[in-house]
Amino acid sequence: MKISIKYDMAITCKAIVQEQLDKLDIPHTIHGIGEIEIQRELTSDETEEMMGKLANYGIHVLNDQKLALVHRIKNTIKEMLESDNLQSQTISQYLADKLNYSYTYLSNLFSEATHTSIENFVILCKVDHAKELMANTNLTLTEIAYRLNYSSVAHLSSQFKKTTGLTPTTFQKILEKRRGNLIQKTI
Amino acid sequence: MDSKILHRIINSPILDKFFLVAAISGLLTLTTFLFLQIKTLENAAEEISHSLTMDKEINNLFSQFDLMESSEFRSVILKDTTFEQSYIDHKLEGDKSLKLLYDLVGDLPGYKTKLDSVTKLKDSLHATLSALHGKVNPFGVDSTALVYVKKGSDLLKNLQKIKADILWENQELLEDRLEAYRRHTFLTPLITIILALFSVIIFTIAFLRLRRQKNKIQTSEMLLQNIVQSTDNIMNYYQPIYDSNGEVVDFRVVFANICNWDYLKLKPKDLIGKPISEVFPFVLKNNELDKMIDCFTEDKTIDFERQITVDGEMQWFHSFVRGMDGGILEVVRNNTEEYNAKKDLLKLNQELEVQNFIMTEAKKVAKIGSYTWYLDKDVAEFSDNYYIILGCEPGEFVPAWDTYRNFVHPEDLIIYDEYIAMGKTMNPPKAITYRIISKQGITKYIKTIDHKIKKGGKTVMIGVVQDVSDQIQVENKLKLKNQELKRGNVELESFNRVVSHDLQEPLRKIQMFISRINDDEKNALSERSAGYFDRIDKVAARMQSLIRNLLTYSRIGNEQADTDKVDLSVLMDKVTEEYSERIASVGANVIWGELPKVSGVSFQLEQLFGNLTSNSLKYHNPEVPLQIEIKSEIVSKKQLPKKLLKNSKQYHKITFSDNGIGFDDENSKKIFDVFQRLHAKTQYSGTGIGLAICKKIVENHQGFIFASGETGKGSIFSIYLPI
Amino acid sequence: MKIHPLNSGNQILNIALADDDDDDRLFFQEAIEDISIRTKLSLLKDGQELMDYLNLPNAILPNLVFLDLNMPIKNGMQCLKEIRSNPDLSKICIAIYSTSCSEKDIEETFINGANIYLNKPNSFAKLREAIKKVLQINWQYHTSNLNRDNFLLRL
Repeated sequence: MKISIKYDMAITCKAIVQEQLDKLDIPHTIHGIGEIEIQRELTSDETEEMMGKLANYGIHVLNDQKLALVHRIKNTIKEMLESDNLQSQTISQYLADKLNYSYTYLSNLFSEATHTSIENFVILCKVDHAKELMANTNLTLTEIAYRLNYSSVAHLSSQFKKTTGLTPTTFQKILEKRRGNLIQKTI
Repeated sequence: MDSKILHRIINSPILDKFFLVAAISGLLTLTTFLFLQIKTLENAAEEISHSLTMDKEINNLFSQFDLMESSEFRSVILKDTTFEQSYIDHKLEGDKSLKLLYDLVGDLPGYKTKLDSVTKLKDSLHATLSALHGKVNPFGVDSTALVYVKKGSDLLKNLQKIKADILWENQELLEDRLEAYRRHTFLTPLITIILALFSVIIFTIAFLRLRRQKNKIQTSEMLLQNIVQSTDNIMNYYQPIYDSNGEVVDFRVVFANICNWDYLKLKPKDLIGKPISEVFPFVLKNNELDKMIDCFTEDKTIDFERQITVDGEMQWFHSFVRGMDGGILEVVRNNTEEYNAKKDLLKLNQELEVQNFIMTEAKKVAKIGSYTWYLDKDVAEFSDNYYIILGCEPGEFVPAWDTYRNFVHPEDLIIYDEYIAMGKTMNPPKAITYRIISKQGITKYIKTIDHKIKKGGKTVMIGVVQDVSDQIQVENKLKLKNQELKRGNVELESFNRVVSHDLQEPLRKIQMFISRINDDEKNALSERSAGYFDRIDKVAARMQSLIRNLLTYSRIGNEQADTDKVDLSVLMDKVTEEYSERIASVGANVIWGELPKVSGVSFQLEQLFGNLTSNSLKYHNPEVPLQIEIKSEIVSKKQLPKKLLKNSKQYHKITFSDNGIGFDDENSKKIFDVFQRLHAKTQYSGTGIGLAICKKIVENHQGFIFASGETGKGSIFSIYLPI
Repeated sequence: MKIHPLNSGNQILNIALADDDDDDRLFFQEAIEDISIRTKLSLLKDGQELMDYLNLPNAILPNLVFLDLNMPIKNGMQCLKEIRSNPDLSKICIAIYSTSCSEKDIEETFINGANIYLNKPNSFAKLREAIKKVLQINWQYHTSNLNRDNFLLRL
């Protein structure tokens, strides 16, 4: 039997990190967006043990400050897209405010590390979010466009097409048929 | 059964008469008998009183004799002559009595001789006494007187003897008579009682019978009344009216029932007592009155039809007239409905005949025959046209299944026999087609459809046959064509695959190598070679677009594509976005009004409008800013050319117009042909397939596309898509 | 002290290409070398070779497999189905790399689990750009919290 599941990586990671650090008796506060504050200085042995335990779950301690910042940018973007105050601010403003860096700096840093501009990444995220909604809810395209702050269905459709090379309708059709295929196979 | 017969006999009128005669004669007999009895009784009484009178008279007579003698004796003794007178009195009295007795005796012979002897004796006595009387003197008595006395007493003695005799005889007679009388007095009351009882019985029976008769008459009269009143027919009774010569000239209405009002709007009470020629003026037409008079005088029954207009409506009546009880009874039935029904039936029959005729003709034209097959007897009836289909004269042979089987094509006998066997046992299969060979030796295809029905308790197969030879021929041709087409399609498909992959691959690689050289080594080439190289690049690109377009063209209608509701406004958004660069470079303005949602294949429609846009952009007039306008309206199919096969009542008419270089309207059809280019290759880029693709897409949507243009002014493409 | 957990630390993309055409393999290799993203490319000559490579006991599985559809021995569609029915290989992102631009092929491969459908372009520059885009987006799907089940890209 196959079942489809959906999970929130942030919550999962947070739980794992908390559990592991508690096991190692390390006092900490998790700030979300991939940042943990450790309340006391660790010995090199303790640090090594902690990194080893977390690595078992594919969680790596980033020593590279730049890479860490990129991740924070990504997480901030996602957070912003999922929040409701999408309309009020531009991405650049939001990121600059949240992360305390100039947008130009963040933008350059992001492109260097991920081969993509922040703008493209935002679009990718929005489209991904739209895909999620198409796949998991019964919302109509109009409703999705409204939720994701698109000016029209046409706007959503064209951005979708540009990003994925497919129209939303074709995408939905393929997902539907994939599920049908899955059911047929499992039966 | 016996009681019934008895009852009938009792009730029969003959018996009634017989009974009546018997009763009367019985009564008469009894009365006569009684009368005679009373008479007899009276006689008997009379005879008794006669005997008594006689008795009294006898006594009286003989007492007179005694008195005579004694008075004589007395006068003798007393020597008194005065007594003589009393003697004469007694003698006279005696004579009178005797005479009376004679009368009384009449014809009783015994008595008469006795009376005769009495008379003789009386005479003797009288003589004796008279003689004695002469001897008497006042002084003594003569001795002879004694002798007379003695003789006188002897005579008396004799008389006494006769008297006793007579009295005894009379006594006997009286007793006889009393006896008879007593007998009669017993019989008479008995007979009287019998008579009285008999009379009472007769009267009772007569009364009962009379009452029953009366009841019967009353019942039948009521019945008759009911019939007359409740009948649907007019029932009138007329009595004749005579002229001075004693000829019947008219009739008078004596009785008329309520139906007169129902049908003729004439009230019965207004009719009664009036001549029919007055109240029923229609009897004067068609000699009806004469017929009725004949009917009366000759005592026959007649009937005739009568047509009367009542309240403006034509009514039909049938009248029966018959003589009855010195008059005539007319019974009139309203048969307007029957008449109308008959008329309708007649009309229907005529129509049926016409239809039958049409049917027969239609059968001939459609080469259809029919048959009825009586399964139990193996007898069939063929329609005329069936014979004609078989190449025979109608009725040329007696259709039975053996005779018919001879017509069946030998190769089709197996299926035919199977079919018939199936038909006999169960419901026959829907239809079969088999071959027959007509009398003239022509092979024909026959299609049979039949049904089993129950007709009068028998199973009958009725069927229709059609000569489908022409159809079969056409079908066979079509089949062949279809097979060819399928083969062609398969070839086309494999050709498509070849083109799409095998032909594109090497070309694509050529282009790849060109781009590699272009990127890295172009500077190393001589100027001339670089020029050639550019040309190679362009030719390769052109070849690729040709192949692509051809592929697209051949795929339309061949590939399964999902049909959606496509919003043309959204679609135009996409198209303009796709061509945004070229639109911008040309400086074109693409505008559209409200566009409908049409059902169609989204990517094909996108290609359609994309190609049209591309076409306009390509053939724009460099001196005039390009204006592309798209409009839409709903039109009825009548606004499309008649010869087109239309499967929708209404169409979206989408007009795509530009102000480009246009084209000569003469070429408006040509431009949709594959590889048809109106311009030199070098002048405008293009493969010549774009508009052909457009046409194919529109046709794939059951629509139509037309182009019209004017050189230098622009072109208009009209697309009709079914709603 | 601050540490940053990250759920992906692999900075080199492992890529495999299965294509029977020497020239296409060559173009692909040249194009990918031109791209700044760090990659390690494995070239396979047909579907069977690819499957053998993937099924090696200690194989370093590629993040991304480019599959030509029209191949001898084992074609692209067969490989696709095999990969998608093997749970061990479920993490691999599959890009179809074909000349065919028929809608039927595109839909069918997507339905059977392909993530990317890439038409072989007719110029090297286009090829480079296409591969770059694929790698970029694939990179994002590998390094960000994007739902890979919904990863469909048509180029």
